[in-house]
Amino acid sequence: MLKKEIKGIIKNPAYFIIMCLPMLIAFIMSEGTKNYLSQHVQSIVAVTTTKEVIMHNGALLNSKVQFAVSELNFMLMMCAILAGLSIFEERKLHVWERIVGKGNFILLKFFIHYAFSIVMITFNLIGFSIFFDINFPIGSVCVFLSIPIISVVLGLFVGLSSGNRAMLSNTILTIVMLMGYFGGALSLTSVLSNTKFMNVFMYLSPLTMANRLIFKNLVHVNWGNDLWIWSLAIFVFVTIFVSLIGRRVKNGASI
Amino acid sequence: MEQAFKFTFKILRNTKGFIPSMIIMPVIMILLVSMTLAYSDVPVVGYIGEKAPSAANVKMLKLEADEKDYFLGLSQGTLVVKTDKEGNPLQYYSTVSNNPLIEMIENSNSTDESFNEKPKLSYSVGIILFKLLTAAGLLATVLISEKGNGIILRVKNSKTKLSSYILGKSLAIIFVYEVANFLILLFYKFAGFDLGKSNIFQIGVLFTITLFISTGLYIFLSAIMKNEGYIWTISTGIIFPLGLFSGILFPVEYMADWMKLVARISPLYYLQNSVINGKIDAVPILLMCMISTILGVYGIRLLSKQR
Amino acid sequence: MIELKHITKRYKKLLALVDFSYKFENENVYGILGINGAGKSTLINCITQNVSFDGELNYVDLNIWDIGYVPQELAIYPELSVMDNMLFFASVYKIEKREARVRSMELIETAGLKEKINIKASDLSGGMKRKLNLITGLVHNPKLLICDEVCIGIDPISRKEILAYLKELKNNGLSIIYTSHYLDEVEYLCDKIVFLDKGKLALEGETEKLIKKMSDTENKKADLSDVFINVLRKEGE
Repeated sequence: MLKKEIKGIIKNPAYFIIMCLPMLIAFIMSEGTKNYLSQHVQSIVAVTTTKEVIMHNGALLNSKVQFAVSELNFMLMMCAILAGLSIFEERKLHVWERIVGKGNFILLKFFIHYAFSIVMITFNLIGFSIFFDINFPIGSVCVFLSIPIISVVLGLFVGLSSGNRAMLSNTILTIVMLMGYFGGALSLTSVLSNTKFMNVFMYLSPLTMANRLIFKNLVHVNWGNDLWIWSLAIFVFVTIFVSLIGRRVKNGASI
Repeated sequence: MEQAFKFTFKILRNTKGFIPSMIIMPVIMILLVSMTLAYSDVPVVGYIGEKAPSAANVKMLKLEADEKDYFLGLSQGTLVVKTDKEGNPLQYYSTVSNNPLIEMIENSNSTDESFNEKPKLSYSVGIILFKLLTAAGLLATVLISEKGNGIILRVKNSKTKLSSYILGKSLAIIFVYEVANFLILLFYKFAGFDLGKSNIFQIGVLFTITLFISTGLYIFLSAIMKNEGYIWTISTGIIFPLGLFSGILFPVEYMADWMKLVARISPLYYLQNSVINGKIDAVPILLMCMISTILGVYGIRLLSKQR
Repeated sequence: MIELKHITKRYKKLLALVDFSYKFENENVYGILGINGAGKSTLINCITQNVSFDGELNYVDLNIWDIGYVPQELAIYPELSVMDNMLFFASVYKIEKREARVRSMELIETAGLKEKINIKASDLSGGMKRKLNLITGLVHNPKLLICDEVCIGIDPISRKEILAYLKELKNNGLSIIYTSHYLDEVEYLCDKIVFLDKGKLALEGETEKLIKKMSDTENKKADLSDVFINVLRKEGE
């Protein structure tokens, strides 16, 4: 069964497209906002002030770094659609009804998609290092690794609940697009957090918290309570969705 | 034509989810507008203290002390000001030396009007123009499905000319989108948008032109395509990426130079330019209208002859 | 009424209709039979000018808009009510509004859809949708009705009702060209049969005569299915 799952991933171009998208989108988005971050105030007059000016000597996150983080997280969330479709196809082909150990089958689907996410993270981190010259510390990598837990569980739940392929794609796309939108995939995180209303709305997306942790890690700022909030969010989300999956399986989950 | 208009309008009204989507569309746009709004060229400064320093041209954001480094690292070229109870600057934290923002704060006086940011239309109109340029995708999907189920054949073999039938249908769809346009313009007006050099009337005209271009393009596409699914591919696979380069998600002026060059092949670039400059880019827009008319007429001919 | 001379239709490498010549006369009901891919739908498409072809097609005392076409697919608007569908198709034939309404009402009543007159087509049952598909092809009072597998996928009761209605139309003098896979339908309805095999005219004649001939040859009471199998067997040889 494991062999079949691996073959299924290798033969499906959608997995490769999603794997390569973070680098491509991060490149386009960062090029598009390249000139934005420099605050647009040009002055040739020397600044005179009697107040103390302390220079910031930490790292600065340019648009490439911001989008590299947001787009990778966004596409890791998009893995939900792959996991959802994968289990939906089994239901559609009525393979699902023939499976005796449904729990193990779902676990297998989870781990195979989680393994794919690890490959995707590795591939993109290497790519970001070579092409964008961005190197992520181990703390950031751990945050990246936590995102697929949410996305695969979400995908499996929708895949087990949907009645047709269009409904599945639409549901996941709407959720993930909104998460991506508020999570800085379509607009610089720094811009969102400096904008009225958006600086509140952006926390609707779990990606915002994940991005924040990675950014703090990159500029060497202490995580503070953020890590606990993030861990709690994952725990609550996974508990709710795993129990929903359990209920769905109990009810048959056939099409 | 009149009947095609009347019945298409009825069909649209009766289509489940169509009207909500016409309402949801403006709402989504408002959200997107809020997002793109953020790209206004007003500098943002963080302050730590009870009161913000008075500066008419700088957006002030209250920060907690431990958020300072994160804020500075995330927003390049920005400044953090520590203030006393009256809002007077005590200390600056800057990411660049000789930060001009310091001067702006130092030179402002307390009698200045407080900062009031107006949403800028020029930065947010791209997404609406994109939506309008792909609006006739609906017409194309309807025509392709009617080609498949025999309705087009019935009309072709009737006493009504296919061109007049398609024209009636197009007008009904344009009419529905014009209603949405009207709502969007009303929103601009009452939300106090900064229209820049344009005025509401000009923007309305440009929206209508965009719908016209869309109609011709999609009639042609419906004639050469057999599968409705391809229409979605055209909208998202070609027009959206082109739109990315011409101001859907970020204003053209902030883009890298190579992107600005690519933008010039997109119709959206000229339409958006016309909004920003408050003057219709006559030559490219006329050319686009002509191409659209030719495509539309050719598409109708293809559909009539199609066997 | 409709004359086809040496009609050949090719879809890329596939020859769908080969040198087909036939005359469809007035006030007759023709059944077009053949297995899948025999060329039935292509023949209908040629008659309705839905496809280009080589050969000659003549309408005698007939305009293209005198034909009522009922395709296999549901050529109706699911979002419109029963009456609106009728009025729309009446409008494309430029029928005056009042007349269109009267004619539509008559057809709706005859088809047993009176109670559903203001119901959206999408909310009708499968059989009712088929009936609506049929009567929208009749709203302009055609001289010839072409039905392409109109009873496909519906329950036996609705099928019986549609056939009875078509028989009534036949008795009122309407010419019909009817394709179907159900031989009992064709035997019940059609005066003349056109058998197609591999795009060629394999056999044609009056239904009753063909069956009688078959019965005589086989020395038993035959039906249209025997004639059909016999044609296929001969063509196979």
